[in-house]
Amino acid sequence: MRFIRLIEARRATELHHGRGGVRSTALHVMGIALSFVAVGMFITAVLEWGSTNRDTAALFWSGVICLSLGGLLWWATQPGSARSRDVFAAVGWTWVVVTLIGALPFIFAGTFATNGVGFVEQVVNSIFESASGYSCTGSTSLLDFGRPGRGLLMYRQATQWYGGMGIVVLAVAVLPFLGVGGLDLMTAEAPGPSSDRLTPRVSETAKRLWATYLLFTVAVAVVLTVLPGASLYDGVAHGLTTASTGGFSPYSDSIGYFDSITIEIVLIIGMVIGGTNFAHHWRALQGHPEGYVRDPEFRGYILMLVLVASAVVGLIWIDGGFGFGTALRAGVFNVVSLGTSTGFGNATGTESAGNFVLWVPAAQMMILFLMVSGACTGSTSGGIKVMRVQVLIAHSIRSIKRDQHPRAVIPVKHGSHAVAEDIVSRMAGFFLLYLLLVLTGVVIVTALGGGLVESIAAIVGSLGNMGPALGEAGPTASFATAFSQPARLVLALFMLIGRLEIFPMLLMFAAPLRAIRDRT
Amino acid sequence: MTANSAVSSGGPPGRLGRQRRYSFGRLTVADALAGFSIVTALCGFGGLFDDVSEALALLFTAAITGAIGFTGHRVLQPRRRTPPGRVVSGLASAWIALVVAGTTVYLLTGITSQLDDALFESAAGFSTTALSTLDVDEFSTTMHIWRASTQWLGGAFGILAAVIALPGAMRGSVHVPRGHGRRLDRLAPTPEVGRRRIMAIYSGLTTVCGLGYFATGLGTRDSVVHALTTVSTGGFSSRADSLASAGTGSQLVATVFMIIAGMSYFALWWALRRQARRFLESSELRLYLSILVIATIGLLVGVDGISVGDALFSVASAVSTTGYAVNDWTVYSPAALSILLVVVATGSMGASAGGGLRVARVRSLIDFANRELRRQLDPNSVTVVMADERAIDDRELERLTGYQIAHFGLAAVGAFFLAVVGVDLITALWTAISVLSTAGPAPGTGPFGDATALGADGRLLLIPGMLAGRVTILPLLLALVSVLRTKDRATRRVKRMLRSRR
Repeated sequence: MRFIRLIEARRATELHHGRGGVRSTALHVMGIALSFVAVGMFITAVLEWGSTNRDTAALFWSGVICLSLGGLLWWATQPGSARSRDVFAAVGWTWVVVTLIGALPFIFAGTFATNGVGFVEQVVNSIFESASGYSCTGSTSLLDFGRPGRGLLMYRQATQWYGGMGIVVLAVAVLPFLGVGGLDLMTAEAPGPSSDRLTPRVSETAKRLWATYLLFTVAVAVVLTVLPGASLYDGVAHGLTTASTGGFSPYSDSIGYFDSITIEIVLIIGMVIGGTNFAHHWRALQGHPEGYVRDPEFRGYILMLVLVASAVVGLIWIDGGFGFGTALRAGVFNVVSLGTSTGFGNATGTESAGNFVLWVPAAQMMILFLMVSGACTGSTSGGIKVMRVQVLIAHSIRSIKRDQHPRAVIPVKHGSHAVAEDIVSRMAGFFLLYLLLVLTGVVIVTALGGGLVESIAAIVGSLGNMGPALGEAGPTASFATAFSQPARLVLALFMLIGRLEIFPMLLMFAAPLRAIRDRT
Repeated sequence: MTANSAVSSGGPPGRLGRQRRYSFGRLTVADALAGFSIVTALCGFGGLFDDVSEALALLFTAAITGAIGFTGHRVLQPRRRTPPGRVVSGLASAWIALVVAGTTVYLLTGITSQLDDALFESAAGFSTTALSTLDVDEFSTTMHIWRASTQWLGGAFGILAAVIALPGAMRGSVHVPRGHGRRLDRLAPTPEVGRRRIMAIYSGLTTVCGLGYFATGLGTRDSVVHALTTVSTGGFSSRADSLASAGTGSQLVATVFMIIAGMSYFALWWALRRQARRFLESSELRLYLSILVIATIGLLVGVDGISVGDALFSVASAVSTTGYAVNDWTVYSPAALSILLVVVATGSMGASAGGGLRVARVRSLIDFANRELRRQLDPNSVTVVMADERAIDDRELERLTGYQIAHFGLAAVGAFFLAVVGVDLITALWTAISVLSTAGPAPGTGPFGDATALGADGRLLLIPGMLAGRVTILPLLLALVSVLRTKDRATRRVKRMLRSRR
């Protein structure tokens, strides 16, 4: 069967792109991804040319470089084997290269060239911003939001949109010849322990996911645009980062810029939808909305948001010194924003209720836990995912039961379904790796000059692709002032590790290393 | 009375000529109270030359607990095969009985008139946690020594539970090495022999440690107090500034004995049996010493102007979960604090008086995570996680991971509730982790573990955490399940009785 699939893949490859001599899945996927990113750069260059026209050249030449490199890799290579290590290498290296090339517009435009900032720091900030964008994290090192043009700011928004559903998933959707290993590629990139197949053909599944994503983005953009207070530009910009649960905004006050309850309600709904499995959205569009209710993860996700939001509102109302209305607005918006790993803020100033750094410790602790849990599998959100939390709790309870009944056969259940032992084991391994990474990251970032609260929250937030952290790196602050340059690079790396859910980034060296070993 | 413990017919006759009842839990409670009464009586007799009213209170409590303990010891005996749930509930009951007895002493001696303070101090003592609300400068010598003795008893309780009670009842004790060779090589060929050997090592270490303190000029009272709380990894001190004002020699003695106290009693047994090779080949011991060295280097790099001695002391205190301090470590750089937090969470070796996740478990968990990482590349590969020469089977690993997830969950819940009562974020997180590791001090409590900073509610919240830290967390949950089941059974029995009478 595998042999037949390989022959089919070879035929498909020869039919579509048979000119390249080098066989490498990683380089080929990278080439396609860069070409897609270049399209985004060109579109935003046109927008920049038509509006502020400050960073047009930066976006254009970045697009040219990106397209040239991508096209060259695409032209010169063919998809190779689809072993696990090749898949991880393809996804991991693609994201690293896209992040680095994606930083070019910021470097060329001198976005971070403020007083006293040297070239090296500009490059670091640009890479940080790019990583934060493509990984849908939403942390920023931008201090002066008036400096970049509207096109460049829109490119910054678009990076999150690319990252939300995944550039590799996009490649699988558009190019059917990546069918061999396509599911593995999607699974390696998609948030969650496995990829939900909507159709027997992987490329069809990828297409449907992207179609749903596009539709959702357009819907949010249209609703925001027709609301008073937001322009078409604002609607599109925030539509891109709501659907992707990214959290970037063209304004330094984020959603606080609008100071509009209506816009916040629309975004709350948008973020909740963005944090839900997109396979359910597709099925709902097909007339089968019952998938939401039947999914124990979705029920747990909604329950978590309701309980945490209620508790936070209660805490900041009773102990925080804010009025009920203010507490309700700030509490619900920020809990949904962080619970879905979006990272939008509705603070209208450093002293406003939306600045959750001012909240009582218990409310901040809940935010920290939300940063760990994240939302649903198959969504655009980050964190370890509600499903994993549910399964790990069930696994823990099973251990207690087994101590009482050592011979009993007790399955770990998720809803009414028993979870396979190897998946439980993989999830436990994932969680332990996650904890190890958090501990290692906190030690490294504090060693590089970060404060303890800031480092813990920033590492957890980066791994969970949240955005704002706590302490000096809160929702109204910039990471450029809270962390040193090396610390920001470490955080950028953790964002990518978190976006790809650890394994691809840790295993992306396996294929090149084994190739070198085989040759020697 | 539980269903199992009520099964008395057929048991062997006791010394009083009556038939002895089977009950592991009650016997454990009786043994713990008997041990408590001996220590308290000794302190009481000594106190007759110091403060008579305190001595009488101690002797009174000793008499009552001794009566309960020794009577129980004579009329009860353990079942041959005690179910894991009962072993655990027995241990938890014994710890609670000790805390209640200790609370009584604090109240009767007038050290404090507040029930919550007495309860907290007693729980901190028997869990070997270095947190206190009391002013130690107002204590008499008798009460200093008795208070330190509570930690000594708590330490002994922890070791006996980890080496004898729990491994015999449950799977997944990765800290217990595979028994091989002559029976004499094994620390606990039978529970009785194991108990004797452990108490001999424990008492011997305490004596040598005390002599070390005395020889380095700490004074008689302080030497006794610190010996009792060093070997037990307790951390209570007779000085308000812990060992900060002690001489360098005493600090060195404390460092050495804290490191030894954090070692597995299996390793110590091999060292005493002159099985140097086996001692040195223990991977857990090597990892434990590596953590000590790496963390000390980390502190030397991360803290400006710190001496090697102070850095090693701070790390030894953290890794053994003792809680002594020689300086204000709470003002260390964030990097140094994060290293200390990781070290406190990791804790000491398994089968030691210390707490924490334990080095053996952390090593196995890292191996497990590494295996899962490798499985991503080769899903069909068969990889075994080893602990020294022993392969850990999947059921053990499953229990281990389940246990650790519950441990982190409990720490998170504890931190949240501490934050609810107003403790700041870092102190809440640190205290929850530290108390589960039976260490104690956190940045908010200061280097010497002043628990008044946590507030009355915060302190009460910590008491179940101390129990979980000393008796381990899953057993606590099991005990809860066991209690609930006993209650259900009793309810059903009462209903049956009522039905039959009708």
